[in-house]
Amino acid sequence: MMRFGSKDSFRCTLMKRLKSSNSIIVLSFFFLIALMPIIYMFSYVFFNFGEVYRWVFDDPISGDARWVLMQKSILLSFEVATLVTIVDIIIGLPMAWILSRYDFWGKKAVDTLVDLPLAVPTSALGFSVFLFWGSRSGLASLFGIETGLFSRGPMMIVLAHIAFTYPYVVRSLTAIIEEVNMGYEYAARTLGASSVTAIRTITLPLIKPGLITGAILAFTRSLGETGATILVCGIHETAPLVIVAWRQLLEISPAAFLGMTVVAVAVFLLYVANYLAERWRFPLRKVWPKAEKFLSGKKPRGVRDLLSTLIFLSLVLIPSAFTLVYMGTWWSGSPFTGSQEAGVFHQVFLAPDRKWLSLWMSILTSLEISTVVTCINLAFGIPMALLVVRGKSRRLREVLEALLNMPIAIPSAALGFSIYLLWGSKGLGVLSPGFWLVVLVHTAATYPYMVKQVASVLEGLPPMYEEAAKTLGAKPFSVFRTITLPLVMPGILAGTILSFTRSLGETGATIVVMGTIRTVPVLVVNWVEAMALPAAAFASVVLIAASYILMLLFRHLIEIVVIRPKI
Amino acid sequence: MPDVKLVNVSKRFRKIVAVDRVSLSVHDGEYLTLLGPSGCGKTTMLRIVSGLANPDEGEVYVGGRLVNDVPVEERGMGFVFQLFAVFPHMTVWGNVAFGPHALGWSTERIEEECLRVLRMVRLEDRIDAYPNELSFGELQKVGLARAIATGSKILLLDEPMGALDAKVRGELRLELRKLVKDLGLTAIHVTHDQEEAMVVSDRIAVMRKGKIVQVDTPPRLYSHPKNVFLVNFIGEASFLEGTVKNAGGMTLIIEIRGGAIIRASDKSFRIGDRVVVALRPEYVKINAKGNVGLNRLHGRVERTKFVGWFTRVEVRLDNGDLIVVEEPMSNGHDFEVGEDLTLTFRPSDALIYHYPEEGLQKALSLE
Repeated sequence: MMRFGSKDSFRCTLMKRLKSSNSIIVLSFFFLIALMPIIYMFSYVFFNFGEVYRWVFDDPISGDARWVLMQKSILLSFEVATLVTIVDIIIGLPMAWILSRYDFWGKKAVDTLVDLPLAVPTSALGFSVFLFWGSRSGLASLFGIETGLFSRGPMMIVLAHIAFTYPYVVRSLTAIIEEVNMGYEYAARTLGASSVTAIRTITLPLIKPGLITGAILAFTRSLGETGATILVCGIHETAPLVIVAWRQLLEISPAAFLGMTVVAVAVFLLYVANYLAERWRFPLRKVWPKAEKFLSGKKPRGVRDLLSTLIFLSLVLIPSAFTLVYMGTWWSGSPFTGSQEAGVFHQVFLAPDRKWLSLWMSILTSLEISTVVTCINLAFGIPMALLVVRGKSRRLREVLEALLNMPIAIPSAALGFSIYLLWGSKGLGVLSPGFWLVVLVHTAATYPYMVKQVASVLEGLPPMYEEAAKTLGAKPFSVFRTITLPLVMPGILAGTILSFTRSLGETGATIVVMGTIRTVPVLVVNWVEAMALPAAAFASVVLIAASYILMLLFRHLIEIVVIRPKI
Repeated sequence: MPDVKLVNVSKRFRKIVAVDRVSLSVHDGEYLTLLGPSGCGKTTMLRIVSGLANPDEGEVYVGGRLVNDVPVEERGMGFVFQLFAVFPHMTVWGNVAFGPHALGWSTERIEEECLRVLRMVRLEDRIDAYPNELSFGELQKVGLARAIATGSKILLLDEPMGALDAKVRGELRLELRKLVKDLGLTAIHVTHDQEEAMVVSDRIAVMRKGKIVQVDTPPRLYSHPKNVFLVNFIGEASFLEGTVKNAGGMTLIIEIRGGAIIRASDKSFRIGDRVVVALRPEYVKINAKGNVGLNRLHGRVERTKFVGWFTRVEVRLDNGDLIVVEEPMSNGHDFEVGEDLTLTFRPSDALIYHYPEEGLQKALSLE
């Protein structure tokens, strides 16, 4: 008896040790990949301020031209993000409403199509949007215009950003609208409120959290986006793009200064937004019975449904998928001149520069990077989620949650640059630009997505299942493996898909640290810049297909491995 | 004239028939309860009256006017929800003033009316409280005040006490009835609790499987239930199976299974009919002496349960049937398991029914 007892207590202390060392590893991992680089970037600017000042404000040749460019680019970034967020909410809310409240034929298809832009890596998406709005093969061909409908610039940036942020807003809204108890709306109706009044005064305030989540997601994604922006901005560069450009020109000091400024402003805005959102209330006092009753009628509702469908089609779906149309018309040759050499097939497979080979190489690189990144995220993300939701100290949980939002809020180009600064030759000198630095950057940028997805499911998990398993005599680890893990599977799956696709599509930060390797999104950018549009179209279609197939594969794999645990 | 009339109303959900060609009239100023086991269609009926659901067939009239095509918000009926549906982001005042606001009343009128109804439910001190600061009982009072603040003359209550504690429920239902009567409202109240229905209602409509089985005042429903299901659902009873042996004049002679003969006073049966005899526990006496006219049955005590002011005794008859008796404490008798007893009851207290076609068990079942 005694021997058993002592063995058990030994195991117990071992478990405790393991547990605490486990959290230390998880915490230091997060610190190393995301926080330390940012801290280092701030200190770099601080300690090298003389150099920064010379570069930015007092250049012997250009004077304060960089300072002017910086201001312009930051302003443009925030203007675009604000406009995009507002438009997203206006066009996304009715769509979310339709998807969560009505049953109609083909609803499932629409539901999937809304998510489509999420599966398209942003550089492919930006290219597609450019082809649709800005090339003569796009919308312009309907009107017989020789050039594109819009030229590259702020307008097209907004159009591209709307296309990929729209799903975030619609998703966050449908999730919460479905959750809101219909009883409140019914109650309001029985009290004499028309359906528009009921929605405005009752449901809208109740879905405020979803509205805020969606808005913040759309805003931060738009603010930090590079892959699509680089293709549609023309000479109007947003702040993340200026960081990328300066890094390529090896102007490290001004890039660090701009990176620091962007990070500071983005984080500041995130917390201000959260603070205001909690205190902000919808104005409820006024009711316009007549007008709102009219709006509740059949006709205005029909108009609403029609408009939101049309807007979805013309601003989101068709521009996102237009590459396919383009590739079809340009496959064997130019539809305008008939020249075979301008066709997709010739450019990719027959031309002497053997584009298919570099495409093949970069597909392999992209897949390797994204797979490694996702595996790291799985290994460190799930324990982190447990720590965030179940951690003993309330304070630590809150701090972690706030810190986890940071890598999401700050533009990935700035994050990538800070990681380059820390690990590269200007800092510790451990890693030079290349495969592993890209992995590190992608991990830092996508890690919070994994943690947040798992944590949100874990939070909603009632403790009774795990308690039941414990009363049945299961040891902690076996409870985790057979009960907790399968039950949070939806979150893990969502996190895996998100981090994989985000890594696959990441462009700006990749350019900052890639050295000589090329991922597919970067290749698309290069080819578009070289005006090899048909080849770029082919590469983006391949990228979309790869990302889609891998998503299916992941889903399948994870189901086999974890959902039905062997006991 | 806020009377409510339903004519041949039906409602299906896919394959399930929730309400099956039901007709019902609720008079002006009447307190009517829809009583039935869960899933019988009573809530669907209430939602049809309110306009929250539309009937597949049939008509709904309010004050003689067909309202099938009138949307919820224009029917002007107060609706009280089981889970309160008190808006979580508004104060008590905000909730109660919501209806008047939605109707576009003037500020003074809103102030006056809301204060009046809040006083009625005695919540005038909690005006600025948010729903998460209120008890369940208070929440339902807010729900009630909100429903009558717009001056609706018809009040619909969907299991209003369903989420409350027994004690609170007891107090609130008396208050509820008083309020409805004071204001002269027409009320339709849905519940599965037969005691609650007995206490609050002028009339009760019992529903089962989408149909109304009987509409009557509480006392008549208890003393003259139309079928065995009602005997069992309203109150309690033990059932004996038997055959009519003689049906002349005022008394009916029945041979129950096992050969015992009992008498009952009912006229609507003929010799040879298969019948079910239902006995309420409070009408059966133990070892009562004298009185030649009494029916007698022999059996053994199988189980006793002390309930409070009476003891519940389950007696196994010689033929194997079980009879439940409630014996008042004051009789001072301790029953032992296995003790031989004689049970007696008056012929007029036995309820006699034709043996149901679908079998006794099925006829009694709640679903």
